[in-house]
Amino acid sequence: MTIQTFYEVIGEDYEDVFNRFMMESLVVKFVKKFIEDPTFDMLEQSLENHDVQEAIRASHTFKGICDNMGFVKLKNQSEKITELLKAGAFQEVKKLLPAFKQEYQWIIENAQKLL
Amino acid sequence: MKDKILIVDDSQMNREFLKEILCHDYDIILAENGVEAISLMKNHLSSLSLILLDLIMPEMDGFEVLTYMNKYQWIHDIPVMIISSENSGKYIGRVYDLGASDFISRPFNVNIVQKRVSNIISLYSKQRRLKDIVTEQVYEKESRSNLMISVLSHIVEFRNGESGLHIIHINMITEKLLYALLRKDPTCSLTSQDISLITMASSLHDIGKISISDKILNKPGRLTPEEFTIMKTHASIGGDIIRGLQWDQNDPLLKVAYEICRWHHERWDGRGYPDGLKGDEIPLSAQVVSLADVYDALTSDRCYKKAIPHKKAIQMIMNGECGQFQPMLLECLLDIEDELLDISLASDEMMGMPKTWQTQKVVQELGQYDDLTVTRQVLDQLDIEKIKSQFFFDKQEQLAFIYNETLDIMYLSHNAAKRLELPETIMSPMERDDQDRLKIRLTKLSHKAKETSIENPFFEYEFVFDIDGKASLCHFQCCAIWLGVKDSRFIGFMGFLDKEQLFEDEHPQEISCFKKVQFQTLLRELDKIFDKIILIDVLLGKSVKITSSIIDHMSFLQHDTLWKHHDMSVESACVQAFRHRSKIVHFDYQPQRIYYAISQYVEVEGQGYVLEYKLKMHDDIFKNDKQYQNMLKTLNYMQESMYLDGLTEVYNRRYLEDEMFQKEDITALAMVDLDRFKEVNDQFGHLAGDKVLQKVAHILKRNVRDKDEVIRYGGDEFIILFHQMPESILNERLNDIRHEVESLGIQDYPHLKVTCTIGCACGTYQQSLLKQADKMMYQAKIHRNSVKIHYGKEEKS
Repeated sequence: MTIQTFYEVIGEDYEDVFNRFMMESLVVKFVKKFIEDPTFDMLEQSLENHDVQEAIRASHTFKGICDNMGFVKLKNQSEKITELLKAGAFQEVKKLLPAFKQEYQWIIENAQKLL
Repeated sequence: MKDKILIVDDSQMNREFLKEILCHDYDIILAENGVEAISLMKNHLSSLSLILLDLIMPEMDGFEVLTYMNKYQWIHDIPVMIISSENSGKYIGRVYDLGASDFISRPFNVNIVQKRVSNIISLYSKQRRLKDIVTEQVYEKESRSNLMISVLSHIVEFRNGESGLHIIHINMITEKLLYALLRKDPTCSLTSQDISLITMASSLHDIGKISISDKILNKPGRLTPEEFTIMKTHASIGGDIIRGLQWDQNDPLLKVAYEICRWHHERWDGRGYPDGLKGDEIPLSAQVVSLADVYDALTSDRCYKKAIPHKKAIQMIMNGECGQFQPMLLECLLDIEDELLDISLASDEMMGMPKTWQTQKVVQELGQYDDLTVTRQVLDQLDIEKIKSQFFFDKQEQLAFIYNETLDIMYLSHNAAKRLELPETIMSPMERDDQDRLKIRLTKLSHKAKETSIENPFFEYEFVFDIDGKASLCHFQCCAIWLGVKDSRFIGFMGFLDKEQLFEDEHPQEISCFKKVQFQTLLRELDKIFDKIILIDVLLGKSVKITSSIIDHMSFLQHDTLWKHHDMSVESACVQAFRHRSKIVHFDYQPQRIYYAISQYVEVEGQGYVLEYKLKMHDDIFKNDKQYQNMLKTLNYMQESMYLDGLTEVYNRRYLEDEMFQKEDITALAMVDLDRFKEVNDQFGHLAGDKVLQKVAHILKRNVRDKDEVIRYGGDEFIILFHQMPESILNERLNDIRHEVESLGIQDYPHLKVTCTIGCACGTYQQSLLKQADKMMYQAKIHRNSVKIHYGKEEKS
């Protein structure tokens, strides 16, 4: 799978990312790094542990990463989660989680197909 | 060299991404959180060109990092660029308030980040380079003029036969007077720069003396009016020297120096020289230095006078005995009176550390430039290190020292100085004479230190020192000071005392001091218990015989004979006991016997001796112990062979020399000489001669009692020592011997005949017996085969 197809499949805008990164190889390299990045797991883990502070930090960081990679849907979801966590609406966050996780896994799944 | 960027972000992916896009052009170091970032900053303070900082992080967030950088003023020297996805106006405003240079929000464009980073870095590095140049120049200027001043002023001082102390005193008094004036007079417009300038220039006040001849300069006693006129020219000459310099005369230092040199002998009432200026016509700088000069001249030793005590000096100045000064300045002098007393004490330390003093000034001055904060902190750090080491050095319980060989200055810790009764700063110990103990020790230490290397500069050393006035064995841990990694230079060494052993400490309560009477009683008591008691004067290397318990009549005897020929344990034991002023228990091997001996240091009438008391070891201790018997046999054999003549088996000459004067009961000495013995040897051969000697020795032994002793004195000369021999039978005895020798027949040599001549002397003065007997023998030789005896009356010594 090419990087262009990848962004098409996950429904995001490759052009925007390319314009910021200026190099296709850089985009590919960091999409691949995204697979290994522990931030999502940290967020999941801290939510399980009800560690709100850690969860806020992780979701915030995750938002930044997704923002940079042009994963707009994932970025919006983690931004929402961050806001809800800050507001103390822990139950609301739980409701959002399945869709959030599904989106994340969809990206990972396809990223793994990158050449 | 690439510029260095610190990237601070808690997300590894973000760090990697930034590193990826910047690593071609920059050196990158990474930190995961604020705490890590701060510690990296400390280590790279002077080499960091930019920090890329995330805001939301664990441990310490971006705001805290900025706050910290503000507190230590690093924010002025290292630009910070915030990269955050928190792009609310509130956040952005806050980070700019905290001194951040730029804010980039996520998602960002790689190109824009690269451009902004390079812009900021080039901007700041220009500024930084400028700062470095300024700093360097300030330093260079400062150190150059300091160097010049100290060289010039020391030339004068040394020619003047004074130590460098006078200049330091002048510096300190001038500075203190000026600050006192500043406190006293609210209209005074002096700044701290002015004060440091005047202080610095005060060193040069006497530079004109360079043109005054040695004869006048160092004349002990009063100058004649003509000489004084010449001496006075030093003020105007000093001014001329400064004017003559090919330097910018507007330089503030030169201006002040000129004032001081020319007018430091002017007086408030116009009676000074060279220009007779009056009151405020005299520049303040010169007024202050002249007062400082007068005070220090009064309170120091000079070639023409002794030091005057502080109180009297102040009194003389107040009374106008040294000319008139500005009343306000005199008040200032009184204000700093207490500090003046400290100056003379503190100046010894100052001698060692004028550099620190100056460095602190530079540091203070640099502190006034707001932008030089990093430099300031580096210098602060240096000062902190200095204060720190000074603190540990001084508060250290142990004795510690530092010796700078290149400057030939030794510093002692406060405690060391106190306990060794030495000053804390010792100037030029190497210029002392070669017998000086400190110099000897420093030379040894230096030798040892130079054997070390920069990789392993540590060494240990041990020597005897007087600590608290008592001799102690001191063990020092030392470290050589090498500077520079390549071609390292040897600077000196330092050390501290880690083990000390007072010689007296081992058995302090066991030093026994006696009056003569007490000691005699003690000896009597000891005599009842011990088999043998010897008193040894270790310094003379002689044993003192104790007879009839009266020490007045102690006669010095030779060492116990065994000591003389064999270095027995006894000797070292008694020397050891003496040296350590202690008691040593040991075995003493004597002919036939082993003694259990105690060597103990005692003092009789203040004089140190070693008292040895010995107990015979009884056989039953070693019963059936073969080794003990062998040991005794060996010792006996040794003892005997030492004194026996191998051929004749009578005593040898050495026995006579060692033993004779120890036997008090010898009353007669006979010398037996074979007549024409050389002819016997020539005619019958040495084998026959030896046989004759053996036979004669045998005859001699047979004809004397067991307690008498026969000695082969020389080739064919024998000596007989008679103990308590009645003079009446002496003649008969000796003639018996003569007859027996005459009738002596030797197997295998039937024609061999020998006779002997005997000279004998009686008396108790043993030293003269041998001489007297020899004389008798030569008288008897006239007839040969005869006996001649000198019956001397009792000769008194």
